[in-house]
Amino acid sequence: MSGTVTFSGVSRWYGTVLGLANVSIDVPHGIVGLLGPNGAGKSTFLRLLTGQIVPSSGRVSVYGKDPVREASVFRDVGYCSEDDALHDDLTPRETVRLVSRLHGFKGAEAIGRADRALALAGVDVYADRSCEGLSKGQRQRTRLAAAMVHEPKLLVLDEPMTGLDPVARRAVLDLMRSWASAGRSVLFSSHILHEVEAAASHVVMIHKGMILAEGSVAHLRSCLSDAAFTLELRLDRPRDFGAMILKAPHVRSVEVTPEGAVRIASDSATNLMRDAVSVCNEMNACVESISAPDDNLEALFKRLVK
Amino acid sequence: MPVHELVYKRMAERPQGKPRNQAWAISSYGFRLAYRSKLAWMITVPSFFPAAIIIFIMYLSQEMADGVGNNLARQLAQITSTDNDGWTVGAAPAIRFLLDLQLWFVTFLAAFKGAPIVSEDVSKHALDMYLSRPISPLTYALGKLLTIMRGLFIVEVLPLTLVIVSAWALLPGCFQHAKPLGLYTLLAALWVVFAFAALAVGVSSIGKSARFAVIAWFTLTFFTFLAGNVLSLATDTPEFAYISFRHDVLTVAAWIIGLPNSVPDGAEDPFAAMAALCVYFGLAGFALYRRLRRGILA
Repeated sequence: MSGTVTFSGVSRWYGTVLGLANVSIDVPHGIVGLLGPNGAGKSTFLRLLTGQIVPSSGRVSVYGKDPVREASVFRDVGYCSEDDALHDDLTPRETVRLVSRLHGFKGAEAIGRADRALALAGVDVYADRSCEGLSKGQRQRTRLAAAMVHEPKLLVLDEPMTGLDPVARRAVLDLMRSWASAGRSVLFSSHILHEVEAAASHVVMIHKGMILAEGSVAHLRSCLSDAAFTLELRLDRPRDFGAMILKAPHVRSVEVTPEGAVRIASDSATNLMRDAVSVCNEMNACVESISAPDDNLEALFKRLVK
Repeated sequence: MPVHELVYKRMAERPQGKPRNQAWAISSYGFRLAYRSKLAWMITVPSFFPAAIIIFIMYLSQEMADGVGNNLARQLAQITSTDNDGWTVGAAPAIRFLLDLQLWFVTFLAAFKGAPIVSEDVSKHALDMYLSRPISPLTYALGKLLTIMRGLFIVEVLPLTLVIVSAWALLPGCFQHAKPLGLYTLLAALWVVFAFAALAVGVSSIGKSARFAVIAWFTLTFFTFLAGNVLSLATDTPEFAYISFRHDVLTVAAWIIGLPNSVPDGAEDPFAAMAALCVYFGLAGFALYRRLRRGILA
C-alpha cells in the first residue's frame, strides 16, 4: 500500500459550485499539511476523506477502504472537525469517555484512555467543567482529545490551531511531531503558512478545488528554482555590487535599502545565485549576510497561485 | 502538567475491542444530558402525581373504616375487583385511564427532550462526533431511540408499575383472577413508549434546528389529534379518528390490555390503527434515512 489516503480522480460539486476538481493524490505517511486559503477546498477534501460527503466522481480510499461504506475505517482514523461540535451540558471528561466507548473500549480501559487523551491534549485541568463554560481553545483541545482517544494510525485535523493561543499552538505542533515520531500519521489543514511549514514534512497546496503542488517543502522549492526570485545581500560596497549585477540579463531590478542592503529581483533563481557569487568574487566583496525573502512557503504559494 | 511539555508516547498495544453496545453508550450519555435540564425534571416529577394519588386512594380504601370515604376510595380504586369478570370492567379501565393520562407527560417529554435529539446534533454539527467513529448510522439512530425510550419509560412505565405493585401489595386478591393484567399493562406501556420515541426520532430528523423539531412534534401530535376528532364528529365517520397518531397508539395499547379504545366510539380496530401507524413510522424512517445517510452529512 502506497500511502494512507488515496484520491483517484475525485471531483465534488455543490450544485453548480465546484468544491474539488479531479483530484488524484496519494497522501504519504508522516505529517502532511493541507494548505490553502479559505474556500480552497480543504474542508471538502477532509469531509470526503471522512465519508461525510460522497464524491461526485472518482474514488476515495483510506487504508484501502471506502470511508462512506465502511465505518470500520474509523478504527484507524481519528477526526477532529473544524466545527465546534460538543454537547454543552457534558464535561470534556464525559465527552471523551463517550467517544472512547464508541470505539469499543469498556470499563476501566475506556476511562483510562479518556483520561490519558485529556492529559495529552492538556484538558485534564478543566476536564470536569461543563463544556458550555469553556473557551474556544479549550473546546478545540477537548475535540482533539476525542480524536486521539483510540490512538489512531491517522489523525485528521481540520484547522486544529484555530482559536488557540500561541503557547497552545506550539503545544499542538509539538504533539503532532511526537505523534508522527511514534510511527503514526497526521493530516491537518490550515490556511496559515508558517504553521504548515513548521510542522509538516509533506505539503499539499490546494487552491480553487485543485491541487497546485505537493511534496516536501524542499522538493517544492527545488521545482521552482528557476522561477522569479529575490535575494538580499549585506556587503561592504552595495552600490558597486548593484551596478555590476544589473548587467546580467535575468536581473529585473536592484534596490539599495536605507539599511545598506542590496535587494535583487531576478527572473531566474539559479542564474542569480551563480552571478551573485561570481560578482562578489570579482569585487572581492566582504559579504555580511545573504537572505532570500522568497525562500518560504508563502512566496511559493503566491507564485503558484499566480 | 504544563502545556508545552505534552508529548505523545504510544500506549501498550491493546487492540480496540470489537465495538459493541455503542447504541447503549449513546443512550446513556444522551439520557444523562437530557436530565441535566430543569425542564426534564419539571415534566418527570409531576408525572408521578397521578400514580401517587391512586396509590394513596388504594391505601385509604384499606385503612379507613366503612363509610363514605371508604366507598369513594373503593370506587376510585376499581382495581380491587376480584370477581371473575371484574378485571375487565374494573381494574383494566382504571389502568387504561392511567395509561391515557400518562400519555400527556409522554407527549411533552418527547416534545422537549425527544424531538430535538437529532436536530440538535445537526444544528451543532455534533453528528460528526458520532459518525466519524466506527459506528453505523443505524447504531446512531438506535442509540437516539433508546435515549428517548429511557426518558419516556420513566414517565409512562414506572408510574404504572408502581400502581400495579402497590395494588398487588395493598389490595389482597386484586390479581387473583387477572394475573396477566399487570403484564399486559406494562407491555402496553412499553409499546406506547416505543411508538412515541420512534416518531420523535423521525420528527427530529426533519429539521435542522431543535426549535423546528419541537414545533413539528406539537403540530403532528396535536394537529392530527384535533383533525381526527373533528373530522370524525363532523362527518359522523369514526374512521377519521385513525388520522390521530395518539389515537392509533392508544388503540393498539388498549388492544394489548384487552379493552377497546374509548375515544371516539367506533374507530377501535387495532389492525386499522396499526396500518395507520405504519404510514407514520414509514415517514419517520424515511426522514431518518435522508438525514443520516452517509455521504450527505455536510
